[in-house]
Amino acid sequence: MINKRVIGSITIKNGLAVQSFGYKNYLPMGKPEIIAENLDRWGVDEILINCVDRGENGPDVSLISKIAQSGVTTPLIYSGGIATKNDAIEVISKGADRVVIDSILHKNKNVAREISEFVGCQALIAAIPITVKGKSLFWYNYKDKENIEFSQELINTISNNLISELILIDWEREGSLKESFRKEILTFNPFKKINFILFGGINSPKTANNLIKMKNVSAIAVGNYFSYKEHAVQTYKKSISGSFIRKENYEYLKIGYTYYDFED
Amino acid sequence: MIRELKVGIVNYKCGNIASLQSSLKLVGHRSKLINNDNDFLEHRIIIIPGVGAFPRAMDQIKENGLIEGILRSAKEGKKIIGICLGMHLLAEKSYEFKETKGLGLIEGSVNYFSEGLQVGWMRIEQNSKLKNLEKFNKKEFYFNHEYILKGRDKDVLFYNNENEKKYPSIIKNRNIMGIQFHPEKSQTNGLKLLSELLDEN
Repeated sequence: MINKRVIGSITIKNGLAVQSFGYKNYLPMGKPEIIAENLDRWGVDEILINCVDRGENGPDVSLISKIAQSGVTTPLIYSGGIATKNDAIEVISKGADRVVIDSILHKNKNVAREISEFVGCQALIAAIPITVKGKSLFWYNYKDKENIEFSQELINTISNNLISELILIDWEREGSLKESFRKEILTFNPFKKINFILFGGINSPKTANNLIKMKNVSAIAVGNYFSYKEHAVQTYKKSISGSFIRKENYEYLKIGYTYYDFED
Repeated sequence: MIRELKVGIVNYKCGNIASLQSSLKLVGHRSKLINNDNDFLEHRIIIIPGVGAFPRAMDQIKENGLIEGILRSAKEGKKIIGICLGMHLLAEKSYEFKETKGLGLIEGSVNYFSEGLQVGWMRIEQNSKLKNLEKFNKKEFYFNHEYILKGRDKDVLFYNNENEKKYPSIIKNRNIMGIQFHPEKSQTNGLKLLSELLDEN
């Protein structure tokens, strides 16, 4: 049986890992590669590298390369600035296992299709930041700071074997003291046969426990929380009941692999 | 311990090469990229990595002039290890997007898996005994695929069982081995497996 996943997320701005508050305010945390190494050591199931300021600059290839070469053996998801097929290929060749697209789903669906056909839909994820206004939900466009209605065309594109999973982001709760992922988002599911990764405001293991049991939720992503609490990942995973997730003991430190820095 | 250089990674520009090289370093193996036919000569173990779709990957292998080298190395008895898409490429043919001929080093074809995408960590189960790999029975590894290789049962060392539907997770025919999951991205278990496969005689 395939396990559901607990993903450690690292938000990166100006090359630094940051604590994000609703993607509006940021506090610096340090080198992203160090945080990735820690998440790897603590046994998260995947690591999401979320570069929030890439925009027109393209993906941060040197960062993903640095993280991959640091000896991280946890699967890496990269998000930020992917606008072409070649961007996706380069990021994967430098160390990412999966890539996330967002704005090109609005701007150029053909490019999204081209990426999917080249890297395979299993390696492609779409991110949807969601704004909740009363009972209505909108796709939030960070760049232009506008809320976009979900068109049937967009829903059809996403549902048609383009991507493997959707990251649903409760961006207004991200980094907020108001705990929990809002239920309005969870009831929203126009997409056929696509599983969700939930992100934003999922700090307490109790909330995670409830969310991860949902049928169409394949993973939850957690950001700041994992870096601020002792044994956070282990405690978090332990508190999720049942056999939904991988709980195998992580032995990285015990087996004592040494990283050899060979000269080419 | 630093070991001799014996691992070559087929560079057909569709793979997660940096991750693989990094994991090989962790278990003490230097590796070099195989970019052309001549590069096959110096390696005793050839790894075909892979993230992508089958038809494009076969095109890339052809365009980069790497098919002959893989087939020749297999015939010479060198160990060939295909990972994920690299495992699929070892098969006779694939039906991903369209029917495409593979390398034909493992009997079988690549087909859509009826249970859909398999993304995440799964426990592998032993199908036939191979002494040095028994310790990996019921260990968890990271999978990311939606197509599977349907091969001969006698070649299947380990399988996965998703909703009572089995498919091979490690397949082996003489010196040719295919691994459906990503050992280079499976933390401790993956490193141990890589170490075992690269160090065995």
